[in-house]
Amino acid sequence: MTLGGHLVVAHGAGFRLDLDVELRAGETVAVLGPNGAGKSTLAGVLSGLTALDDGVLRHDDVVLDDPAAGRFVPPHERRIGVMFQDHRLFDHLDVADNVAFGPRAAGVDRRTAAATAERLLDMVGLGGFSARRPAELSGGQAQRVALARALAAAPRALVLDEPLAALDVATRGVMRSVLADGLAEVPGPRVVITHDPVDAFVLADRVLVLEGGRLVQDATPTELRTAPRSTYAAEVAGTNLLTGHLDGSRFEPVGADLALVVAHGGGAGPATVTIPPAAVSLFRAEPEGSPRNTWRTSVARVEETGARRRVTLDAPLPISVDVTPASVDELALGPGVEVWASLKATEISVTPTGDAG
Amino acid sequence: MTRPPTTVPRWVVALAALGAVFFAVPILGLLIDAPWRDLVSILTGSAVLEALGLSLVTSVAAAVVAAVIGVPLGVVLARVEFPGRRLVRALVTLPMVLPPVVGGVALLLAFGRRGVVGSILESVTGWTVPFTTVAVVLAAAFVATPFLVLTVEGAVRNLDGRHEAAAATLGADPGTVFRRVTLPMILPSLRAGLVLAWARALGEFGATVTFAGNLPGRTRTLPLAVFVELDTDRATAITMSLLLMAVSLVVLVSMREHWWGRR
Repeated sequence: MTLGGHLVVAHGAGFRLDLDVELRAGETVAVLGPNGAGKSTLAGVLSGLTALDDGVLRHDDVVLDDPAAGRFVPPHERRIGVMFQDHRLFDHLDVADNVAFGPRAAGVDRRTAAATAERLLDMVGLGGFSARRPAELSGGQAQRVALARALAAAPRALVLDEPLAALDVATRGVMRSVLADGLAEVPGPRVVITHDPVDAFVLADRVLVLEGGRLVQDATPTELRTAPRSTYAAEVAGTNLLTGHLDGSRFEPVGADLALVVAHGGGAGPATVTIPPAAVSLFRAEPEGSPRNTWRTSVARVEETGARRRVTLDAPLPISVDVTPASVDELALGPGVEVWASLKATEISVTPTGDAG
Repeated sequence: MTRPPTTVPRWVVALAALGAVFFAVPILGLLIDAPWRDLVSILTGSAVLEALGLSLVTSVAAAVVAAVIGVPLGVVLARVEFPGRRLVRALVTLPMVLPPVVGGVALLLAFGRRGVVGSILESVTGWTVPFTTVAVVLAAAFVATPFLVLTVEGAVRNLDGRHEAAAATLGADPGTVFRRVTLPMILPSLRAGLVLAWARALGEFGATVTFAGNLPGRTRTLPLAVFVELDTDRATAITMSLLLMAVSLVVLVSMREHWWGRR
């Protein structure tokens, strides 16, 4: 069960998507790239909303798009679900009918479709919202309905197109774990299109880094973090990923002798947090009027990454920190140098991971 | 909030007032001259009821014809690129500006005994269209459909296709997408266009009298009856005019939100 091929789309002035991909069943692949990298074009190509200009797209042995052979399978025959960034719920239908839309279009009877809708709304945490109108929902709720709607159509593959970009930071963490549950419902290939490395690290088994319409790296999240192959990849790969235990606003990373205060926590249980490398500041003396997280540590090593320097810290919390070359000189940073690290609670993204974490 | 001083010159305001009077006076005249005391007995008279019944049946039938051909025309004009699209749009909207009597003559020439369509129709079925109730419906549909076509075309043009694309990824074929997404999304415009087309059909006179004639019980609709009665029975003519005006008023009020928004 694979979905992929050699995909070429020429978009008017200058832009050209040109890559080979292979998405396997049961695997979640993050497509990571800056704005304009061609990520959403890829979503369109897979779902059939965008036609290829060259190359070929296959789903197992079935050719979905082959411009040279004049073959194109329209979206409704592909059954590749898409959850759109702008959710695209039908305003004239209530929440339950939105979710039941796919099964109804497939000829499933009203009662069975309603039961499917109810089960999926429960799964995304919106039981009891059936009779609401999309206009009455918050952004996060609308995205949950959009996820349930995509799943209800029993898609052969699922594409989440920037599922969290329209949400505020506080709702992203919880929504990410809802997405993880949703992805697990799809036996086929799963794709998460994002510009946020956190999504890639938390949700994906494999990361495709896309820049300027081309594939620059195809790696596991771990490989991407240890050996990023471009400046962009290095920037995003520096994102620190910690697993541990969350208790309200207190997070205890596994294997670290330090607890972090997080702003967007809540609840208790296993969780994953991410810390952007640029969010940590280093000082020679203990900072005054400090942010909520301040600790004393020492530098393990300093590396060059493009225009920045990446400092890796030692115990109690071995994370990466991006600083300017000027700061390296000013603080005389080098292996073994003692420093104070500080980190704002609001810069930490939290994703509850349930039993899986 | 203070308003800036008005910049409209006095003479413009004066002409505007004159204009308002121009519209108000005839309507007031109609209300003043109306035979209020005999209104009910006139309205329930057989000639009025006959014309009213015929008008309702033919105008609703014309609205149905308008929906069946006008909605697809609006959708195709908005969505399908084809050579001659502008010509088709011009043809379809022409009846809006064409004098109705010209439309009646054209219909007569096409569907008449020696007309292109009429002669074939007669030789095949032995049936002729002109001067029948069907002719009334065709005449009304001819002048009313353009209102629906333009409303629907505008509404479909305003759809960006994002929701329809989403529906397709959910497995809905083009027919299902049209029925369950496109049509519901343009429903407010569709409703407005239908009411507008129906009102236009109800008031149709010129094309009807030319193409369908003025036969009591078969082709004499309310507007035709008003014209006939004006010479013989003024009170009945005024009463029927009031009836038509009342319908127009209801249409206007029901369309208020669609045309001017909630203000």
